Amino acid sequence: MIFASQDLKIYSAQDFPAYLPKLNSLYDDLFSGGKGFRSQLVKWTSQSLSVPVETQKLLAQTIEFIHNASLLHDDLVDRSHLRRGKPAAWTKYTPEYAVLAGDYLLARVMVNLSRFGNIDLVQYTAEMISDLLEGEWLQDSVVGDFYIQLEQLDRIHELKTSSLFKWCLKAPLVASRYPNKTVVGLLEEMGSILGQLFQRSDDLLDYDVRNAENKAILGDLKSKYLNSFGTFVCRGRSRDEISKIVQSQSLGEFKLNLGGEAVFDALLKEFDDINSQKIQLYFHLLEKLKEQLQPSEQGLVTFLKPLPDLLYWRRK
Amino acid sequence: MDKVGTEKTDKFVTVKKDSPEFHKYLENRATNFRAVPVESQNINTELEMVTFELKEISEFSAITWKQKIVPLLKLNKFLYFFFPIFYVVTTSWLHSYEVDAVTLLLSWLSVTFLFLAVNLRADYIDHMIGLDRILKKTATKPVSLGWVSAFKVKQFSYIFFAASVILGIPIVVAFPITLLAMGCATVIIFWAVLRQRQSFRSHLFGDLGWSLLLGPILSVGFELSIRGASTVQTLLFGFVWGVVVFYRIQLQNFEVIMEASVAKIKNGITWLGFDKGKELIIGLWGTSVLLFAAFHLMYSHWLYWISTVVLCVIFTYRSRTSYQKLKSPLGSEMSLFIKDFHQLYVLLTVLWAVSLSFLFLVQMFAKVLG
Repeated sequence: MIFASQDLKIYSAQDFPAYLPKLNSLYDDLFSGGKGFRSQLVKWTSQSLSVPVETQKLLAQTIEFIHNASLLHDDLVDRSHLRRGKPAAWTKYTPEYAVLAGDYLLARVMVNLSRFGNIDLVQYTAEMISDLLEGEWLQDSVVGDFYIQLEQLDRIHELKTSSLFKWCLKAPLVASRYPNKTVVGLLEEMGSILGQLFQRSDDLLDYDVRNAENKAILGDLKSKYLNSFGTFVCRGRSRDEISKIVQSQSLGEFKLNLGGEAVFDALLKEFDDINSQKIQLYFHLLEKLKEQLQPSEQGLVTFLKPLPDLLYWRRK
Repeated sequence: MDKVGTEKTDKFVTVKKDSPEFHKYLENRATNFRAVPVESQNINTELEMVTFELKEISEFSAITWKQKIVPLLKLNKFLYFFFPIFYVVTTSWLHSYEVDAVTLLLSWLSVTFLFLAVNLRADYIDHMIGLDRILKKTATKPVSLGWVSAFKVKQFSYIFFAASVILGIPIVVAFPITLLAMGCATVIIFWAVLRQRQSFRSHLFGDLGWSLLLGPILSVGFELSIRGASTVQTLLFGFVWGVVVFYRIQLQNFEVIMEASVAKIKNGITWLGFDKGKELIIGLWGTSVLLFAAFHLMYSHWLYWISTVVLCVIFTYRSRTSYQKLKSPLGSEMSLFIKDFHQLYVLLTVLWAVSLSFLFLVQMFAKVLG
């Protein structure tokens, strides 16, 4: 079975050894239902910069493999029972298989990239995987810490989320040995901002804000993880107040413990304002990028322009 | 890469490290706006690119002088150099040594100015090489947030350094032997500053240098500068105080272990890692208490020795919870750990100061009562 994100092939069953029991069916379950947003980012960036189609495919597959490997491990670490509305791999195929399947995906990434023969790309990808794992590790170390500060969470998100977004925008340039280092630096910075925006928007879903995809309400909090918005609303409050807020069993109770609906809305506006400043910064960088790109590459600007809207404001 | 000058043209400006404007923005030389770094990638590499937010000077009008000056003066670190001076002056008085009042005043001012100069210079360099953008927790906010220009900080560091040298000249004339300590201090300061300017990635021996400087060199040097001689007791005090300072510096390094490790900064703590680093803090604290106890056993009354050691043990025991709970370099537990173990450092210093003050008062009353 071949899965595709839009028109992009992500993986084929032939990529994995058929004699290993359960492996292919585990991957079938895992890869189906994903939006493939990261591989789309890779594809659009690559197309704008005329990266060969074969390289595009390799990069798209790489990011999806890494992302899905992290999901396999993440679900087990968090003891999440559902992934994309279906039983998580560790519950259906045993935790051991889930760990090994994740490891195997990462190993395939290295095999495929080594074959491609661009050592800079191999190194950059390995660094990104390291960042991702460091982020996961640190996130696990602060579970149950409801007095954490937003800046500290940002550091985790920079490693865990932004590193992947940065990779999506930068890897096509590394793979094609793009000569303009300024463009590389700008895309890296923009990827970092997109990652932060995506994470913060994702955290807002937990409080039913712009939650079109109907994500479970207060899921993070119930898993003893205070996410970025939760940390933001708790800043400056006493330990007793925070303890009361985080024990909320419903969104209504959460808002009540904060001081009511109006306080919640005011805090949300403040949070949005802070992130709007990040979006402003993103557009400044986009302008700089526009100046640096060749006329034939300007399509990249058109593609990058709506991303904050899509990722933070969740406008389709 | 950008057309950048001294005129404000946009809210943000992005500058590459190899641009001639890079240092101008970081130094904040313009008089009508301040450039505040908001986003940096590949810090301290050739690919470094910094995006600054340009802010009107008027935007900082709400910042008070106190908010600007106090962090720059590093009042929280004044204890590092103030306590050895206090110790030397008090013990000299207790031992009835002949002390020259003029050189005492000059030495005190000279050391204070030198301390200010070195700290301001360090703040300037930290800002220019990007260290304050990585270690935000320990950064000097007035510089990193653009409340004061880095250029002015640099200028003031020169002024304070010049003042320190000028005030030091009469001391050398009065007691030439002071040159010995001054020479050692100069070598260490220039070595540290030079290494820091080249790269912020290696502080492995820098911390030891600062401990030697603020411990034995300052104690013995200050005593030489006020009476032209020193004692074994002062030298031993200097070593003990050096260990206490080293403990405090390592505690600060431990607080930012994650940021420092990510930036590949080499120091004792990043080399050891989180778990062993935590043990090092405990080990250094234990060593500080042991040396403190040994020193007081030699030079204090036994009753005072017992009471201070008991107090140290009690307070250390009270801090065990924050040690046991600490399981992440991020989060609130780290803040509690740092707070508790900083308080232990303050406690040790206060106990020492109390012992000296007590002896001072006893002797004074004895003199008054004949």
